[in-house]
Amino acid sequence: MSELFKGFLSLSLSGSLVIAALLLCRPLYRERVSRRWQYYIWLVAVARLLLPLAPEASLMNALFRQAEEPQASYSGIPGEHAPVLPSPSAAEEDHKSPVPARVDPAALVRAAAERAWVVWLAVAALLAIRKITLYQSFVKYIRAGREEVSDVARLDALARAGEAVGVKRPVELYVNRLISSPLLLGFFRPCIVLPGGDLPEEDFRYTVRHELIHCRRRDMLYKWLVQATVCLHWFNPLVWRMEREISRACELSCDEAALEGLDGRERRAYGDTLLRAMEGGTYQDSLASLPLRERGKLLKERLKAIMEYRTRSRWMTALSAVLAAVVLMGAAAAGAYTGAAPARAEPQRVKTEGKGEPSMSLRYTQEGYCQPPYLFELGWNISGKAGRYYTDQEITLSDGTAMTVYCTDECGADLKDLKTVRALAELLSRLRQETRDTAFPLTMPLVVSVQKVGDADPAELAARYYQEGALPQFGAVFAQLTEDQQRTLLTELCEDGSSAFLSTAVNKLEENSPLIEQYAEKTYDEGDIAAFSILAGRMSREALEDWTDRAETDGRTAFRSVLYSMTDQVRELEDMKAALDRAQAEEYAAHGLVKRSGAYYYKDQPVRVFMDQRQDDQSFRTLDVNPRGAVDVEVVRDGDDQILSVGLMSQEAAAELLEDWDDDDDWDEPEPLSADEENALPVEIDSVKGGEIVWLGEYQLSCGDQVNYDLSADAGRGLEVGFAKPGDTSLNIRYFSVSNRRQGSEDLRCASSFTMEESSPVEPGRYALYVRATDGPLTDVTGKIAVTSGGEGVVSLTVEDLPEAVREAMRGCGIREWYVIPYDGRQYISCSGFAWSFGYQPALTEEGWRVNVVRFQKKDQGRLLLSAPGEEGLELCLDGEPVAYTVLTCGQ
Amino acid sequence: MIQQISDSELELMRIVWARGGTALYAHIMEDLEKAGRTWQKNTVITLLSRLVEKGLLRTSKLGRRNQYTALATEADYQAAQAQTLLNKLYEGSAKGLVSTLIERELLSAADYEELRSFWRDGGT
Repeated sequence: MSELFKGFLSLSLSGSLVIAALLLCRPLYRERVSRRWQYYIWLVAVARLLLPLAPEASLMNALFRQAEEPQASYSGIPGEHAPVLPSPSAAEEDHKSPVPARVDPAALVRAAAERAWVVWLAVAALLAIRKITLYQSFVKYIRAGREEVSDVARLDALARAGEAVGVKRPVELYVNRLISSPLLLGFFRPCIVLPGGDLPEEDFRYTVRHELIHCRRRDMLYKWLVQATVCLHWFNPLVWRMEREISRACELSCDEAALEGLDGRERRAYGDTLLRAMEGGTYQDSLASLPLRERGKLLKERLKAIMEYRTRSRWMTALSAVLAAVVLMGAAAAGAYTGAAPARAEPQRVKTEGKGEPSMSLRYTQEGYCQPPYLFELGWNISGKAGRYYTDQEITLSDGTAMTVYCTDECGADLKDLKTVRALAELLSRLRQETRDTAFPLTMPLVVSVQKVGDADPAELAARYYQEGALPQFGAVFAQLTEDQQRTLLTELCEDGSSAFLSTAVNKLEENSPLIEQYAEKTYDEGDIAAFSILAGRMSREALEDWTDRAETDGRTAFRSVLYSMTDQVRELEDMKAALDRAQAEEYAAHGLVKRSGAYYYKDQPVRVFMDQRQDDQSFRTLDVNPRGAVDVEVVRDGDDQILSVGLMSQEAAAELLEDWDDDDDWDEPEPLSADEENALPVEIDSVKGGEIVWLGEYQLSCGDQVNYDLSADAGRGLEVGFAKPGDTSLNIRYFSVSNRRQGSEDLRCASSFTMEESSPVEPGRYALYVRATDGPLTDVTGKIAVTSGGEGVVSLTVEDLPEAVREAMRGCGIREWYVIPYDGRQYISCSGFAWSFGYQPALTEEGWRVNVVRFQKKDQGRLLLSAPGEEGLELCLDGEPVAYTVLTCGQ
Repeated sequence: MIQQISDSELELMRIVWARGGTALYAHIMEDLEKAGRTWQKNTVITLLSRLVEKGLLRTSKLGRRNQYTALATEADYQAAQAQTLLNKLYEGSAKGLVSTLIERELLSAADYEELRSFWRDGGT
């Protein structure tokens, strides 16, 4: 127990260091980073105070163990054991009086220290009980005097405010005249309690907005976490200080969040609300409630922050992230005392051996091997866990030792055959011999496939495997070919641009094969940079340096950049890029093109589509799309990269490019774009007659989808936007509708966002979007409407993410076969042994989801696991070609 | 004893009663729309859950959808309300209520005649 207490003291001390650092550095960051950051950064201190995790070599361990060491020569609790070596004076005293009357004060202190944890725990428990009972009686007090607010207009305003700040669940609203400031209560069924029901409309709106933000951020949870920390660390004044700082930061950051999206006038009004809340009674603000009103200094600080509110620049966001990282690292380094140091005799963590391969890393390789008359596809170093999924077999190797071999279901039968087993044993013995002294010796082998090739001509086999796309087998056979046959194939591979096969083939070439140099020469001349970089991967350092010199002399920039990155010449690479950028900027500037902060400008107009293209082969030098741009610009170059012309692009060409661009983006960014991004539907309607409904197309709405409106009308009195069932032309039932009327000279604007929740009364289905003039004609209705798919689309998974039932169903899956397992509303796509890095393009068609898997680069191993919505009708493609798949049912 | 409910809650109860005592959330919203009410979704949910708390409705799940069932009929409710009114203002005396209605000429001659015949038939 005292060990635990000691650990706890170390937490308190290292937490204090973090708190002190945050307090001391505050003048540096206070005005620079967001209030939100200033609020959540305290979590680092809280975590430091609560979590006894620390690296072994931390400050606290050093400190506490040092303190321990001198004590180690004492034999522990006095009175129980005699001192090992009594001092001469003590021995004399013993001699004089038979009863030891002296009490050693140091021993007393030690004894007290031994019992200190009891005091610590008792106080912590008392404090916790006090805080909880205080809170309970407070809640009782609030409950007793509260009345429901039944004014629907108020409830509606609360619901709208909730939607605006992102609180989706309903929040109860009460009035309690016995309290003086608004507050939020309850974790599971949140409710807002106001001190009076007669707040002016605007005050009401801002008050609930503030409280709703507390609710959304789960500030209650944070507060209680801090309270728990205070209870445990009651003896630490810095922790009490931290508590105060956090509640201050909480209010300030909540204000900041509430001000987001408000204009200058509204910000002033928010401040007015705070001020007005000052007037009125005094209720002792209780623990864990979140009062809007605060006294004196804090209020002043909040008002000042409101006046100075500004959106943080992206740069500041980056700085905040860096700062947070620094604080986190500091907190980790301060560490905690994790108990007595490990005994010296205990083996230290084994250092990795010279090869530079960390001993813990799990590496797996899988390739084809020729062992006439068989061709084995073999992998090794599968994990013990993976081993359970395969059948295993003992095989006796040529030196008489036995080895466990795992095999996939499809080749299980082959391994019953004695000849096959003998060939395999031979292959394994050879491989084990070859890999014995490498960083990656043969263990846990997995036989993926066995083919009997007999005495078939290797060249024919290689050609066949290439046609079939059987990469491992191709690699195995390629190694058996004569140099001439290899040359023929390499030429073919280079011409076809089959990078994966070329890469496999090149890896099978002898270390110093003249073919490498020969083909490097060929591809360099042809400007085939992809093939060249594959070949360069097998070159010696000297050869690479020669090539670098050559590329520099020839001014071949693309080759230079490949060679620089291969030889780790980072500086050179960056210098080269910078020089190229400078040259290009000058070139562009001569034609009226400027690039500022990442965006192109043509004659001072922002460019939407920017295309820099060679005329003869249509190859792009630059293609850039900026959705916020206004003009589309095309730069045309001749074969020598000299600019021929710079001018505006035709509308059609730009439109086509924009379409392509969107397609390209899909797999790059499977995340749905945020609502205010490009996928918003821009609305521009010149005029709408009084009562007229303008239809804006139909949308499929499903669970999790988000609908955002932001429309305004220049002239007119009433505007409404929403969805209706297709065909419901008289708008009998309106869904997600927002309607607004002009108030005085304010803008007529409908801005809101809705989310289709599971509990939502709106059933998933097709809905038609409309805009209606509810009160007289409207002119110039502009703005945007966005429907964002919120439900998970197609996502990539790991085996750990799979539901148990799906994992179970996949157990018998063959290698390189495609399977689809529908389960619980989703379809899991699996292909094991899919040794490629890949991207995927999901698309929702009339029939259902279509997923196109795009292969990029061959890997040693791999597995494809995706999950798509829906239970059936999945169309699966590989590089655009439809793939056949087997549907597995869970539980069969 | 049926608790006091607000006007807007009563409106929701009327919708449920009108639908035979059971209504899906979607139906309630539909009927509100028809009645020209553009109440927010969460407002309606809040009001409905208050009615559940007050023991006037029971909520159950029909698949993913919420179904509300009235636990008291409209007649029960009216009777309870009338009783509350009587207790509050006339200390339980129905006669006091009727005489107030007559005194203030809140009852038409026809109403009065009807009451009288009811009294006579019921009394004799």
